[in-house]
Amino acid sequence: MARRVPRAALIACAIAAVSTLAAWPAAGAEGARSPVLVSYSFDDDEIATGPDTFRIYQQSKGSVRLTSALRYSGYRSVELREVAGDGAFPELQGYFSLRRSGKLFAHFSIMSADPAQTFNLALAGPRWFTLSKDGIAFWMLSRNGFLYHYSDSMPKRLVPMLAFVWYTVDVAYDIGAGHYDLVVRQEGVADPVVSLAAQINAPNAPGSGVDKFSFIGDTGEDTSSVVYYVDDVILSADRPVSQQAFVAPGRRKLFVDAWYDYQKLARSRPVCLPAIAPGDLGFDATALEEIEKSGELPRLALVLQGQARQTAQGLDALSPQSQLLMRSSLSWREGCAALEAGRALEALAHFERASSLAPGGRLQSLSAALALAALSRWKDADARIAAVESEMHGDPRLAAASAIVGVARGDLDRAEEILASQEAGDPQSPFAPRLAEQSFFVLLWKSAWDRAEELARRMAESAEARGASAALWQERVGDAAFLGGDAGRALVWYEKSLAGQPGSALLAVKLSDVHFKLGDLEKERRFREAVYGSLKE
Amino acid sequence: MRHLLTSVAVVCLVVIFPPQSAAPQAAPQTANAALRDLLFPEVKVEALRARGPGVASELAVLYSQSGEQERAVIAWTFYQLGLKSADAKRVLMADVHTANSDLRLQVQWALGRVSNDRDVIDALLGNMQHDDNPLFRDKAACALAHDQIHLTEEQKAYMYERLIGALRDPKHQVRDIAIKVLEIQTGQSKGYNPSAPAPQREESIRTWERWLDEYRAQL
Repeated sequence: MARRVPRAALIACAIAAVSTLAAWPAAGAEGARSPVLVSYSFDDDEIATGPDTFRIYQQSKGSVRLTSALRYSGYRSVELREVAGDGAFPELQGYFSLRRSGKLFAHFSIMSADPAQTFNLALAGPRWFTLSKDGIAFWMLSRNGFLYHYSDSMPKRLVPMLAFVWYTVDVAYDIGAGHYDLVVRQEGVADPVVSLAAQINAPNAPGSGVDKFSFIGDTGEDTSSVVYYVDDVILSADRPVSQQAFVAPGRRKLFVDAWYDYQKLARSRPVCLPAIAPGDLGFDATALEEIEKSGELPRLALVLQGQARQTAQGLDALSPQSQLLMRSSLSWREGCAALEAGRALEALAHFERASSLAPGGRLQSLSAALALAALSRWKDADARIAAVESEMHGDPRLAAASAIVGVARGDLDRAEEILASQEAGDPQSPFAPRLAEQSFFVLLWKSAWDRAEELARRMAESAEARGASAALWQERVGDAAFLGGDAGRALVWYEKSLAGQPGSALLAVKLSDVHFKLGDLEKERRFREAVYGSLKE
Repeated sequence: MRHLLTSVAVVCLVVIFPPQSAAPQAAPQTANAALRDLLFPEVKVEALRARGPGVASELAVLYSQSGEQERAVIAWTFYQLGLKSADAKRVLMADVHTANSDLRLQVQWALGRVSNDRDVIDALLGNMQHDDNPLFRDKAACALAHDQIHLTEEQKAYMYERLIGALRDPKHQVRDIAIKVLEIQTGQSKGYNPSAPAPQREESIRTWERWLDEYRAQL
């Protein structure tokens, strides 16, 4: 791990952060609390990429590599080399625990071989590198020989930049206030060349959280041919914070465990079930014919597919009945988007409106049941499901919705029972794999590893017998085996699965976990770096 | 940081899937057969990219010889390649007002990824404000929000000026999509509400105009 901090950089950061910074141990040790979130001097031999350290992108002609030719301190820095017109980009993208309050201190040194060429660096939050709250908080760039920062949604010129001269940047970001102090020092110049206080953050958004950083060339224009260097990246909080210890190279949680937690979180939250046919939303043949003639069919298709946010404008040419159906469908889609975003109350209002506009639409009612479950209104949810039971008898989405409600309220036994009752149903149903998948995850959450593995194995065999790809279910067998503690069997099934989905990044990182458990660190690294990249000289 | 461009695109209809590829029918005699093989029935973006930046001009020639369904596929391909090209811009601009829904959407999305000329911004803003079809207006706004990848800061200032002007549009939908574009581009709304009474909207617009003055002063 590259968490050794060069003394000069540590002192600079400590001045900005807390005067006692040096007294704190670096984060990462078991149980350690430290204000230091990230510290890379790039001098260590082994720098592990991963979801809790950083990721290297270098898909085309550009590169990100360690170099000892030029460095600010120690004996190495990182060189980012961008090639214009190659259709890709090099990037060093790093991660740290989310900070939503207090101050964040960032310290780094940069040097460009040609300041006329563009490079960008940023601190951002959960909304990634977008100009929005929780997106980019701090953004600095070089262009046409000048260094700029992006404040209040506009680039502001800071200082002319000289080639092959190090610039050391210190940012003290007040997250709650949404502004930062910025100091830039130029190599060989005694006083700071930039010293600004209380600069508005990039999107002018107080309370914009941060959890990642990025060093990149241009931001998509593919016109930059910059070569620049980064050294001594240190990020710290204004108080000691707890961080989980690293359990394996580059990660504080095994990939399989993170995947399991994500699945549990995502699948426990009710979301809309898909519309398969327009009839699900109440459209009959007459309405469909009219909509087709009016040219609105593409819009209806987009609504059914959930691909677009649509407006109700322009429906005036339709008959009143068709207008109601279209408005109901649009409202249903808005509700689905709200439910997915975790706004269950808003979703329920959309679904209720959709139901009142199209009383014959069964999916609107079923979706209302799911929104009620998301609001923990279990009795109301059960009642809504019961109300559509006769209309949707035999429709696997009814069972799926019942199981989702069961999972949401933590009644895994009931969910398992409902799903098991469906297993004997029509195996050719397009919904059968989805039901099996739900059963599989319910079994995982009940820690019924053996039964989960058996179900996945049966599904894999069934897929093979049909001549379909068994890769996903083979992966599931591996998941259950790994979570059940048998890394050796997991390896066998993951490798089988890999043959059917050789490009799967998820499978690659799961294999990295398996090899870590089995003690093969070379293969652990190979699979991890296939996804997160590597940083080498 | 590349997510600056990609991660917000889900707000609008993302151009992930190509339009229904046209069957390789009635191939024009002059068309490059090898090029057509990379487009139909399935677009092979990386193979096209491997032909180098000149592929945009080759595609422009093919575009001008093709029917509407094929042109929609080629426009989608221009979008995916994201190569600045005067030839691509020229042929796409000829379809920027087409009534063919599929083609129009692909053209509107692709234009900002092949050109940063002022008339492209003008055309998209014109569609956003004045097209009879609200779907086309909405998707022109999407293009302005997400796909103007070659704009310089000066050109952005021009686009912002026009968008701020659209905040005074008498049509509610236009005001609504104009502020959405500004929000996506800058992360800010400056308190503008398209449904608010005119005096309240005007107050916010003046804040936007002061912001634009400062933006221009920084150039």
